Amino acid sequence: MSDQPLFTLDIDQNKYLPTGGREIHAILTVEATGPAERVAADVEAAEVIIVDASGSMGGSKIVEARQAAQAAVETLRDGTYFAVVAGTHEATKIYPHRAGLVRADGRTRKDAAQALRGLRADGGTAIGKWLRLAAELLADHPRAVRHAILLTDGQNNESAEVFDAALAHCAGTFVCDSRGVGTDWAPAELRKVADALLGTSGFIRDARDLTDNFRMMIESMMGKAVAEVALRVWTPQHGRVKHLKQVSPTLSDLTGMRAAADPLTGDYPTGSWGAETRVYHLCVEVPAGAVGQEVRGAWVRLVRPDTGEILARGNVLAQWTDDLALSTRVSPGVAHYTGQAELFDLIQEGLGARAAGDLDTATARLGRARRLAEESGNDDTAKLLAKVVEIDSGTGTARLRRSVDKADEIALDTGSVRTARMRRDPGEPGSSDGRSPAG
Amino acid sequence: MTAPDDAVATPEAGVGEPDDAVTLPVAARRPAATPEAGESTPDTGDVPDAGDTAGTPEAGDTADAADAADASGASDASGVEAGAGEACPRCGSSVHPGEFFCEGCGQPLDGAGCVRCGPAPVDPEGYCELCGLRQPSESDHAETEAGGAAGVSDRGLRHSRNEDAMALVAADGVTIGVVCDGVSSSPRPETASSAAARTGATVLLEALRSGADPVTATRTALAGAATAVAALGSSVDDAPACTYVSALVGTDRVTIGWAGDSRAYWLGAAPTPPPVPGTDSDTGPMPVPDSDSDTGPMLSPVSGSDPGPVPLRGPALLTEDDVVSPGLLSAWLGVDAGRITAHVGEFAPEGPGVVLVCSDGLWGYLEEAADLAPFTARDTPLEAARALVRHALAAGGRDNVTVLVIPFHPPPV
Ligand SMILES: [Zn+2]
Ligand SMILES: [Zn+2]
Repeated sequence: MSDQPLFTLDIDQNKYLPTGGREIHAILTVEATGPAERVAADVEAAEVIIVDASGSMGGSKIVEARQAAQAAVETLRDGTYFAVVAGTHEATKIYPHRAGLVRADGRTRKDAAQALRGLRADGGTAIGKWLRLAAELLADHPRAVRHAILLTDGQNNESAEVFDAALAHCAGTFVCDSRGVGTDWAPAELRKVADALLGTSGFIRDARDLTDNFRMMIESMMGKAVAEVALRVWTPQHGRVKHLKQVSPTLSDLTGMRAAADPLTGDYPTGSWGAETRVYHLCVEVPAGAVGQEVRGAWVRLVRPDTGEILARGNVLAQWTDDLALSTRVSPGVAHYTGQAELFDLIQEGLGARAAGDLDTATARLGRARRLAEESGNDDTAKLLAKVVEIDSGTGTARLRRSVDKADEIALDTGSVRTARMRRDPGEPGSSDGRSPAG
Repeated sequence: MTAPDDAVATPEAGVGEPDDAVTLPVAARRPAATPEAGESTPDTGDVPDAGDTAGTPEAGDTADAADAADASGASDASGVEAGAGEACPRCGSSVHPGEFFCEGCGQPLDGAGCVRCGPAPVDPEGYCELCGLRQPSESDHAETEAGGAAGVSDRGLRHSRNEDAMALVAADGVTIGVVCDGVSSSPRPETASSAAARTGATVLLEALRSGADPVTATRTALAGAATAVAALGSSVDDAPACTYVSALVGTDRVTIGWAGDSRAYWLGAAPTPPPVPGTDSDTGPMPVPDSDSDTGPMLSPVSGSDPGPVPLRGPALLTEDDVVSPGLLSAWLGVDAGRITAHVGEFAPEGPGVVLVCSDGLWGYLEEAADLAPFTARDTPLEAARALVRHALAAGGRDNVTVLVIPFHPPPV
């Protein structure tokens, strides 16, 4: 591959551990720059648009959903393979009428619009089935950037086992961005889809915004230049990856997605890439060493599984010292993103407690979350929190708002995965032993 | 000689026109490669690898070096051509049979395996592929002797590797010692110090053999070392860097050249005489011949009027740190160093003693010449150097420590 984005991997950590210390934290910033957009135009792409057509979608919602799906189809680049699926208690492909996907051109876009006009709202919700059909359709295009958009307005009627099995079946075969519309869907369910299928989940508060949102999702997908990139992590014998989480732009735990590459090495999928930056928090555990000894605690490589090409690499190091000034320092990146993960946990615990009627816990968690959001520069989340919890400007006491719009609660629940980027602090000591472009 | 002090960026400037300040544009530097000291002076063929292989039994490989030089370097990269057929799989340096470490990149040679878990492979970056341990390199603790002089270099207790380097050469009745301290904020600092120490010692001896006086030879050597270090960097953002101090100890004088904060001391064996009018007291640093410091009349042995070397009696610091503030260098060798000011001082000891050359890993714990002197008063040079390193380690060993102890014996009257 001559033309592809240039990937860089930057590692921010404090390598110094106290005597007996075993746990190393590092922030990995992966940036893809360069010719991504130009390259993306030459990359095969395959898209499945899944529209909830359950009974609850009746009225204006189904009208907006039709228009949004049509806008998505119109945004597809010529030559992109696509299909439109209507989701109820079944999954029904409404376009194309023949098997598989169809190439986007003037005629097929028009035919798809025609098919969408016939979309009616009727039946239940079986998200797992919808995703399984998407996986089946996309399987014919193994080298393409494979993607699905999923829109729903209700809670999944499938059992957790059935839903989880469907997610496991689909994982690694395509990336899915999902959106909930209205206030009867469960943010946690779409978060599961996003985590398993390496995409995003989001809330469309006003159905009239669906069209813009769908168009944006397709544009972003059309910018993907590399279908799949994996983080390959080597850890020393008797060491292990304790966790690997994406921490920016959104939180997503990759720890459970490890596929062993060899006894000491595991691959973690990250999905498809355009020109973008993502940040990961890696925590590894290694056997304690002697003061003065240095070990490579993790060797991180960015690989293209299709070609085996190494795009970037870097070391996460550990060195033992008896100098507390060195070992107690926390790298700014680790501190920041640990705080962002804590913010998510506080919001989830707070909302859970609130739903269970434990208002003391809810107040404590959400009040702390609001302060943390403000301190860490996560303005978007701070604004969402302000709709749910107020802080007395005089006493600093947190108080739950008496009446909270259900939509505000969903917006907070959904938005809690978004983290603030760390304020750039160039030349921070202790940052980075391993910046290296591909090569 | 004219001014005692000039800017050096190329050896040519240093040799021919000592007064010229030359700053090479980055693009004009040689591309990064294993520097070959011989290229930097006109007399390449004269003393091939003088500072390179001597001091080991294989010194006889090079005919000239064998009879002339008794020398060794702590962190030496042997010339690539000198190879006996085998080469390091990592850096290409030649490897002598039976060697455990590559002298070029300092990493264990294949078959050596990991020092912790045995026969596991070690990857090119020096980490064990099984347990991850960064392998200790040859320079973690090195000792060297040449003529009657000795040197010890140690990683210390807090650093994962030794970024200091030393070279010691005894030949033609003189002893040459060089100590360089890699700048830890620069990339690959150990390659800078290693190249500078090796090149400095080699070029200094070559220059003397081609007829240069000690001051000119010292300056030429520093310029050669600067060129070698500059060649290791590809740009100012990728510039391995180090300090440099050389001591040329002859039968009637001692010549010191430096850039940075590595130091040389005179530790006179004779009891301290009363202060001599017109010179500084013996307890403080010596007045350093340095035309840049226009702070009044200086004893400038190499200035235009050539008043001769500065006399030395009791313990004294011979160098003046090139620092903006403690720990912040104002001069160093590296492609990012710009105009490098070579300080050169010439001294005439009035009795026997030793010249101590060291990195800040030592003087950070033991700074006063009078406090250093007892270490060298009784022991052999090697024992003295070891004792000084032990002192620095016992005091905390925060930095790499390198110490050269070079005896000065005045000629019989
Ligand atoms: Zn080597
Ligand atoms: Zn090992």
